[in-house]
Amino acid sequence: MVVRVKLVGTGREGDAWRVPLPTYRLIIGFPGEGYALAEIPDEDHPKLNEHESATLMHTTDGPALIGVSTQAHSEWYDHLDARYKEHKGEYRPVIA
Amino acid sequence: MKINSPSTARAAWYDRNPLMISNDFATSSLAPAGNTSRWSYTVPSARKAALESSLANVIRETAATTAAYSAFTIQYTPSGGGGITIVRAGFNNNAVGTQGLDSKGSVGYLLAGDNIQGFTFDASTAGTLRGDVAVKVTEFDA
Repeated sequence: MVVRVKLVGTGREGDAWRVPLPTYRLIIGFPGEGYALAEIPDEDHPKLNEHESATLMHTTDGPALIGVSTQAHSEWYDHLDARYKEHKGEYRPVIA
Repeated sequence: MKINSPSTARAAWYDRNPLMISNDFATSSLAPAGNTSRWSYTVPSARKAALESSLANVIRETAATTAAYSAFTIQYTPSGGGGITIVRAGFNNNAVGTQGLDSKGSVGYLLAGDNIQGFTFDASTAGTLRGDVAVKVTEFDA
């Protein structure tokens, strides 16, 4: 699934611009605007694209999730905590 | 007489629900930009992974107005630890065609929570780069 998420970091050595997710492929980043399009594994989210609050945008890499509710974010965080127990509480991506 | 069943040998790692993973950032006409994570892979819980090959290859495609250090790298971060660079290709040279290349095979194993990421960095003013930063990984049941 493609997601539009907030970028973190400064672009400096040791603090790269990055997506706060465990596994992803950056499609394109917009550091000036503070967000990026990234592709993430289907196993890494609780079918967010099918959530009733999901807003999708067409891209050349397929539909991108660009909006979802706070509740859906919470379900996503729980999913990431369960799948990556060693990083519990660490991955808190925000759809932007 | 009691006959015991022979013990069943555990399947080799590459037969334990293997999942092949390849990450490759292949680019051309890449303009200067700060340190950017192009891809990331983290081993899920109850899984391990073999990092079987890695490559960083960067070439100056067009000259910069002012050249500075440019590099494509791969960093390994063990779960709960600090990151180290395991592959680095870079240069500070404005000659078109200048190449930095670093590749490794059979790098090692990753445990649950371990992470690898591919980065690009170019501190030049104007000019472009092309190249790749790539890995091949097999993930399997721990």
